[in-house]
Amino acid sequence: MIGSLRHWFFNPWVQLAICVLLATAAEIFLKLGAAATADSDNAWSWTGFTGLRSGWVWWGILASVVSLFNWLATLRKLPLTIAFPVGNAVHILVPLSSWLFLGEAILPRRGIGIALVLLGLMIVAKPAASLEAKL
Amino acid sequence: MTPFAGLLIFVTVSCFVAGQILLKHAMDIMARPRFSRVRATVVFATAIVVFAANFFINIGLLQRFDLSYFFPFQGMSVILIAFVGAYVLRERLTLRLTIGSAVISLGVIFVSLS
Repeated sequence: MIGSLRHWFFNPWVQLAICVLLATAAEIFLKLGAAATADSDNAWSWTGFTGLRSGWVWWGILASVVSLFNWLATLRKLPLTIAFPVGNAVHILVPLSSWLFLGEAILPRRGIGIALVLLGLMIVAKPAASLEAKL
Repeated sequence: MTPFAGLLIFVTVSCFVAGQILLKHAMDIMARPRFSRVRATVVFATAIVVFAANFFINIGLLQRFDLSYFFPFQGMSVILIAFVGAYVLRERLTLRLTIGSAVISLGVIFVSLS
């Protein structure tokens, strides 16, 4: 039972799915932390250091680090040319989550822009991943 | 968006790309049978510093912009990697890469005008 659960958990596709979900969660946490510490009058706030005062930012860091480990576990078994295009699902999930969890309004112009970025990423994903793998 | 914010977005995307390339370079150095530990450490540490810069500038930008506004700009990192890769490897950009890059750029322009 534990063996099969472990086998399932370390399946590269499961690792990739966890990676994408955690990367999305990290962006939401970081935005929550940034919003909680926003101070546009402070010129130093551009550096982002003030964000460290928020617990959300630390959750964001944790989610990013764990997501990185999942990504590395994925790349052990899946080639970058496959993992990279699938990983671009984060570009759908982040705007969706921004709308769903942060209540951000996605007006038509922004929606069209996001769709075009996504389309472009789908077009370039494979050749770009091949180039990155060779770099 | 102010020109300064636009510059910071470009800097943070560039840092992300540079960090990825440096990290991969550090891994490649360590994969060699005989490698210089000092060189690998310097490259790895530089990657971490560059990623940290990317992270903190991101937070600064998120303090001012919606996530759904800022996030699509990160799609530009793929274009940068493709261009850097083509330049370093002396490969010609394929038609598919050129069209895809143009579509991403158009999307980013739409988002920046929203």
